[in-house]
Amino acid sequence: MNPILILAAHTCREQLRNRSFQVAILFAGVILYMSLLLGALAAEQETRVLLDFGLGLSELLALALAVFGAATTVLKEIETKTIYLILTRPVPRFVYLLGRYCGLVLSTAAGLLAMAAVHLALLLVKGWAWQASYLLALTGILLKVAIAAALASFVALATTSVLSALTMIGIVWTLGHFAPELSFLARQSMKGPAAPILLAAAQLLPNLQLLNFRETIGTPAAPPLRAVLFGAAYAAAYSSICLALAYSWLRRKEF
Amino acid sequence: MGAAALSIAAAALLNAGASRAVAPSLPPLAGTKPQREYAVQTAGLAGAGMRRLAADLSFIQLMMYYGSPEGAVHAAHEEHEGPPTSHADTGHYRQMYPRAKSILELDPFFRYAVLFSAGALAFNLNRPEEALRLLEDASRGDPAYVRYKAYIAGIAFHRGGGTQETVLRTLTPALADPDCPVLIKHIVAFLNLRLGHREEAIRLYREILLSKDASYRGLAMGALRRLGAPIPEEAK
Repeated sequence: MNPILILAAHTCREQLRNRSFQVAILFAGVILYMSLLLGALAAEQETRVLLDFGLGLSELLALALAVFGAATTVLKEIETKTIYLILTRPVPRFVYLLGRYCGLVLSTAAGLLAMAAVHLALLLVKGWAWQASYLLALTGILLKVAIAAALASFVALATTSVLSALTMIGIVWTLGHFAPELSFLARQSMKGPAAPILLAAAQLLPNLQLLNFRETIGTPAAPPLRAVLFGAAYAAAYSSICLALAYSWLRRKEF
Repeated sequence: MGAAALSIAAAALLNAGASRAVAPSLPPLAGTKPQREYAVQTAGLAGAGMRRLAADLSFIQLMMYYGSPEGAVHAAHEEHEGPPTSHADTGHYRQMYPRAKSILELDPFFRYAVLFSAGALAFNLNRPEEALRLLEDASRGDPAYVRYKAYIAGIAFHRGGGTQETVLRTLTPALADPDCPVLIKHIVAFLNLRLGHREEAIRLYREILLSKDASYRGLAMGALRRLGAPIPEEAK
């Protein structure tokens, strides 16, 4: 069997058995149920509020699970020396990294699906009419989280600090959603001192707004298939760049 | 070092390609003015990519504002910002239009919020100019939604002293829309009643009884009782 698949399956199993992963999913279920209170405040717009709140919460929890997993998995193995057990076999370091990453994304997808099942059940009970764009929203969430996990793997390896990785991803996540605003501000302050910083940020940070399909669910602004495919290719390319950077750090590490 | 430079160049290229290939689905927030009270909430949620949720929360807050006695609202507002300084600051629910406008800026496709606010401004608060401004802004951002035009026509007739029949005729087709706010249904029911269309008014009040808005359910219940019409079992 392909070593990437073996590592991915092992990481996925490990994550799913992790107590904090299970608690997070349970927590999501409870909060989703409690969101009924918020929905009740919206009167006629109850299902819209439940839809937006549920998808937003699922995204944040999936992000937390993926980023925490990416920041800790490899670092913990380096610290406890268990990485020797894998790297002493004929497993190249990039295969190890890629396998771990794929497993993490898989487990996050499983967590996201579990949260979506609870969310959908609540929505359908409340009379929401099923829309296929819900699946598109989930895809967008997973793509965004996949980019964040790849970036977290790189930052964690480069800084050897889980906290720095988490903080950095928090900042990138926020700025990534403000990508159109960053470009707009950079254009506005073309001659100001902030322009180069804004321009660099707009050029280098991931454009997460591109994958924010959740925001246009059921509206005329819903992305066409071409934009969705482009978004998926973008996420794959950006994640590959981050993983290549992470590999360049892992390759230089002496164990 | 070489790998890092190569990666940075690749990321820059990728982002440049992405910004050319795909236009943003929502207009950028830069340049808009969120409501001062909710600026932190709006910025926090928009930063997490949740503009729709920010719009939802602002709409809930707008309904709470509109549903509170105005004396209490003014007292709380003046406690923070002092007494009103101009004539424009006074009047009934003066924050209605700016609040609705900031919801529209967050989510240009939140039709219910626009129709609700425009209906309240035009028919309840007697500020049709603000309602028309809101509807025209909304229509520019969501030109595919033709119902805005019906509302604009209805409010324009209302403002110009048009007959109640004309206003009723303009607003009635909008009732078929799932996004039609219960407030508009209530106005149409009321107009029907005034024009002597008793059966149609009763039908609309019964429809309102099935809505999720408790305040309008109460109003419809009162109207049906006054009309001596039986109240459906499922609404009791």
